[in-house]
Amino acid sequence: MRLTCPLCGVRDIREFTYLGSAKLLERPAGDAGAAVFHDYVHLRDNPAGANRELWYHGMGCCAWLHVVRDTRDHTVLDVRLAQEDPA
Amino acid sequence: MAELTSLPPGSGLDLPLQIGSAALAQAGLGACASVMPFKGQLSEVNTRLKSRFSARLADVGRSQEAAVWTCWMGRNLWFLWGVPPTRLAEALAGAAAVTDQSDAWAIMDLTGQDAGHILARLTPIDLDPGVFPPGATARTELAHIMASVTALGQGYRIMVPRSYVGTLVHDIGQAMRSIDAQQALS
Amino acid sequence: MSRLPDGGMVDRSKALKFRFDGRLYKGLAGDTLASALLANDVRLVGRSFKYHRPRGVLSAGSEEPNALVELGEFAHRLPNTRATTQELFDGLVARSQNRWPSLRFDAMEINDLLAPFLAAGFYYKTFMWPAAFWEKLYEPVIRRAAGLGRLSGQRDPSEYDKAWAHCDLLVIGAGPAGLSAALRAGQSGARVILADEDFVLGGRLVAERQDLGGWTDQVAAELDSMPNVTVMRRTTVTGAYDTGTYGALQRVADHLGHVPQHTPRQTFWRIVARRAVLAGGAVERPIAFPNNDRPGVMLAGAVRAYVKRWAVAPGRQVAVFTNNNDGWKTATDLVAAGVRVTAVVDSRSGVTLPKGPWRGFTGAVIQDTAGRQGLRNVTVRDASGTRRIEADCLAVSGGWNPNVHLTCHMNGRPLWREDIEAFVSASGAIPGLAVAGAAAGAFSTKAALEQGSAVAAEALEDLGLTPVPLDLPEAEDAPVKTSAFWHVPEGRGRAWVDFQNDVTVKDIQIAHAENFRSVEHMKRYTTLGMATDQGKTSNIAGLAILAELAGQTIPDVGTTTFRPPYTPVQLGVLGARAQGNGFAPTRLTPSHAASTARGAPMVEAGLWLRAQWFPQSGETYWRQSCDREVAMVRGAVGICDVTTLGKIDIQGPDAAQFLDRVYSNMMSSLAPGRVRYGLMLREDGFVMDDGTCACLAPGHYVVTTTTGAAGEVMAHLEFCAQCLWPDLDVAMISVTEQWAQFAVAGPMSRAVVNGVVDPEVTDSTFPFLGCGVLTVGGVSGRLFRISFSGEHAYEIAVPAQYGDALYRNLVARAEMLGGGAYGMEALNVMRIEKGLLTHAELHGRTTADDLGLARMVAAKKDCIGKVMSQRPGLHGPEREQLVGLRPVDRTAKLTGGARLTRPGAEPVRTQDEGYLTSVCHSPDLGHMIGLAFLRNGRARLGQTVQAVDFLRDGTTLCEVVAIPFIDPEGEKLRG
Repeated sequence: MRLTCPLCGVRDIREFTYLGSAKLLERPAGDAGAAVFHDYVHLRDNPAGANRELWYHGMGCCAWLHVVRDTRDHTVLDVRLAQEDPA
Repeated sequence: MAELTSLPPGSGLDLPLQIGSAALAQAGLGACASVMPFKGQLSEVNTRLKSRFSARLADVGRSQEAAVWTCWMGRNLWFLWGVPPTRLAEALAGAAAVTDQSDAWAIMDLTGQDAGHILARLTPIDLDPGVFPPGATARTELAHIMASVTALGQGYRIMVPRSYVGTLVHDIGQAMRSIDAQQALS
Repeated sequence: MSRLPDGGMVDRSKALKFRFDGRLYKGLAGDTLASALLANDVRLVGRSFKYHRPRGVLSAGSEEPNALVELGEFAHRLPNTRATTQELFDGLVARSQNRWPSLRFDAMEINDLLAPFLAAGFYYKTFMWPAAFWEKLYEPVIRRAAGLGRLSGQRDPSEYDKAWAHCDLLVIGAGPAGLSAALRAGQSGARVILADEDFVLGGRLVAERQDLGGWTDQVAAELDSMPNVTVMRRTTVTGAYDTGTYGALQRVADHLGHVPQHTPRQTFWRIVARRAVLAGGAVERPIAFPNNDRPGVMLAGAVRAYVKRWAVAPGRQVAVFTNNNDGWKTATDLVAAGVRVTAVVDSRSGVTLPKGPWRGFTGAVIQDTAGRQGLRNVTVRDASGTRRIEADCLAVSGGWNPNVHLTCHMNGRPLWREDIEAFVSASGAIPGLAVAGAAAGAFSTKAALEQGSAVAAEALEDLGLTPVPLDLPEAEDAPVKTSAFWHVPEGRGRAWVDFQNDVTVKDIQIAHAENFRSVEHMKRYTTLGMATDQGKTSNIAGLAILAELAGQTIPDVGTTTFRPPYTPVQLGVLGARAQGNGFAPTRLTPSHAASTARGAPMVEAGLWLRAQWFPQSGETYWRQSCDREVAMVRGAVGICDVTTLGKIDIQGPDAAQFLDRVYSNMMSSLAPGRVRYGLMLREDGFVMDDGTCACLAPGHYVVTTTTGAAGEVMAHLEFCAQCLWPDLDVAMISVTEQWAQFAVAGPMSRAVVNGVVDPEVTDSTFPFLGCGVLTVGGVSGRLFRISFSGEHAYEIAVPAQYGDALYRNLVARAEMLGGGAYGMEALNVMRIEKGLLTHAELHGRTTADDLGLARMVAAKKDCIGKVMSQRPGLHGPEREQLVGLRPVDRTAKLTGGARLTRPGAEPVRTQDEGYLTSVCHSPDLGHMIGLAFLRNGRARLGQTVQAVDFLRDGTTLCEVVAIPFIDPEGEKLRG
């Protein structure tokens, strides 16, 4: 599998690590309470289809990427710098 | 006390390494500093670099040879060689984070017509001159190490964190021997 | 000799000697092992998997199920090598497999007589009871009797390689379709890789009498000369993966008798292709009829190939059995080459056979064959009855299966095409890959050439390149005329479907009768389509027979799943560059040379090598060195390389705020020139890492991480900066490698430090947890007054190029004061004595409260993990809390990993109350001590628990004590 890093271009998957759902971008405020944080930390959709997720180009430019990937066939629908696209 | 003596990275290794038409040699580039512009300060950084050092930060994925050699090294990160890091830090104060990286990297030049074939054993990126012409630079994996690869005119400049230099020389040497042996087959 | 007097792509001036089963033979350059054996009239080449039936060469390619040999000798021995693809070289040595004592007289042939008992499902039904016998008795016996080649049992001495390649267009297969695709793309200026498993380009063009004259050679030469085209002969594309990545196995030196030093025998390629063309041709399918497995029964296309390409007649009297017009070519080609054809048997009624010097039968089948170790005659049955026909070779054609294998690697399912009675790939099964030629069901040469050219042009246009027109040569364009015929129905003998696994028509009938009706179940019950050939010649016939039994159509039954690799790939080549030093990079510290010169053994810490201890003369056991080093640090001064700890430089207007958010404790209140211990949590509230944070100047910090977590912490901080708070203006970079850093620890540490720094440090300029920039041996360095030993200590840093010199200097100074170098073991003892943490304690399941560090989660601010760390389940008496343990019997041993229970409790899971994480012998205390997590441990000081080690030393009664074990008030640190 290959991912197109907005900075480095298309690269082999070995340069990246996967973190998890892009829901992690939406960190609740510190006073949001345990229930909201529980949802943020633990609860995930499990779509058969487009999934928003975070990848780290750790063997490359060290950018965090917001990737939209089809979980059924690994088609990468979109890649952006997470920094420019927080939510 | 007496002044400390300096050891370059790769001391004790068998360098330069010449196998067939390929050569691997340490590139001594001197002082090196990292530059990370603060938010919205990229043009300010370039303005100050131009007036003080006749330099500017290279484009993403590029390196640039001038009075000062600059190389893009990652997201919002550049390295500059040839200016003492303390001077650079003063010049860019408030506009960019500057750190001394002079000792943090082992820098090797791999030259010879088979340099690309040799590196194809070690790195997943496409080094064809059509897509990676002289001056192009990439952060990538090389010999399982987080490396920087830059296309020179007749070879490649490879940078890895200093502590990895033994592995780098070992793995490139092995690939050089393999390619040299395979040239003899046909 | 069966070598024809002329023709063939062999070099008659170059004779090559080789041995098969110890006998010396001669072949020619250009031969495969199979063609050379056939040229020497060797027809019996192996024994079958289960019944040990005599078997001969079936095919002329990688689909071969029978002609598998052990190639080479001793450690170089390579089992299951296909004789049909192995190039002959001078001195080649091969042995037949799965027979004892010899190929001709195989004692295990008894299995063939027992065949009625050995049908599908036999093992499952017979070896059910007693269960314990399976592992000890049944399986070893079965494995000895059945099987393929033997491994040498020795380390493979060959070298292997792995590499990457990139192209615009990857063309898989160099037959007519592949050649025209590669040629057009090459002439259009695209970067092309043409890969073919054979050592000669041309595919069927080099096997058929109706070739294209000199076109093939011309194109091969042109492609070889193009700088933008890479022709990879002897290269099998083995798998198709996501986003245009393909795996390919190149046999670099398998065709050489002597492999020069440093030459890889094989290279495994990862080919990244923007577009690809699969032109992998088709595999001919056999027909199942009684005793269809005798040596001499071959695929018709293979018989033509041996005659045309290698000038070898596989028989003196050849009969042909076909269900399609293509099979007829075999008769005409062979006669034209001077080989006698005795009969042409066509299963179809109402077709008109071509005229020739043979007996023709239509609406006829082969009813049986004779000849134990080689075919002697065949029995033909047609409407008029049966008769025997002399034949030492029977060329069989049941039609052709397009090679759809690769198109199924990403879950694609092939589609059945009624007109050619075969599966073809669904379009788009592999994004970016188009199929052309016989692989796409276009069986005529003309269609293959045109399709190859057309799909290449489409791919180039997709890529924004302009395809140039391509002139194609005149070529045959015979339509496919076939009528499905899978097996001869009634018959007495067994009819093989899968030669390699000894699966017969009857086995499929048994599977169906016993309700294994899904094609995937039938495959596993009968083993049809498994092993090295993965059913290339048998799968389709197997499911056709299943469909017939089930009264379904073939597409309704469906296919089994094709998975990579297309042909077997040795583990050795997949492990290329990963053996020995290639397994993982090694990182060396600035003190490495000085440490090894002192005879220090090294221990891995992450990728780093660190000195374990520094043996002195007379010390024979590590504990002697370790105890001495601890005493030396506690009594005088010791030097230890701590360069490996992660160091991250963090700067920016918002750096302080950023640190407050990522550390659980407050960092924004840290003044320049001060260091603070810091704790990082994960967002789920558990501890991630600990370290120090030094403020060098306003808005400029250097934080340290543990050695093992440096990469993880860097990625986490980047995540926080880029993903969570992109509005914060903060820049970070690793400076781990820039600074060589050494701990100088012990009551005399300041004297050592003051020997190298300028200006001198005092308690007022550098109090405990002070830091600053000063001159070290003429260069600018950094000094931190921090301690991981509990002693008055410093960490001193200089640019890495001066690390070796500074380390030697510090050790020499320490030695003058009765101190010296210390290693990881002594460091570990001192930190356990002080109750300081490593990843033995910070293992991802412990909270700040568990560690007794709850006060480090600041109340006044938010930070990563704060909310979740306050969950009720993460506090209170049910939690396992960090405590010290010492054995009640002070001479007893403690072991890391031992489980804790109440004294006398049964050592079972339900009684478990915790575990020991770190243990050591404390030279200060004179007995062993340990750090442990114990349920409600802080409330149990003074109680006893028992430590149970199931693997080592049994049970030890321990006393729960407070940590640290020594200097609880920290007077030595500050003094």
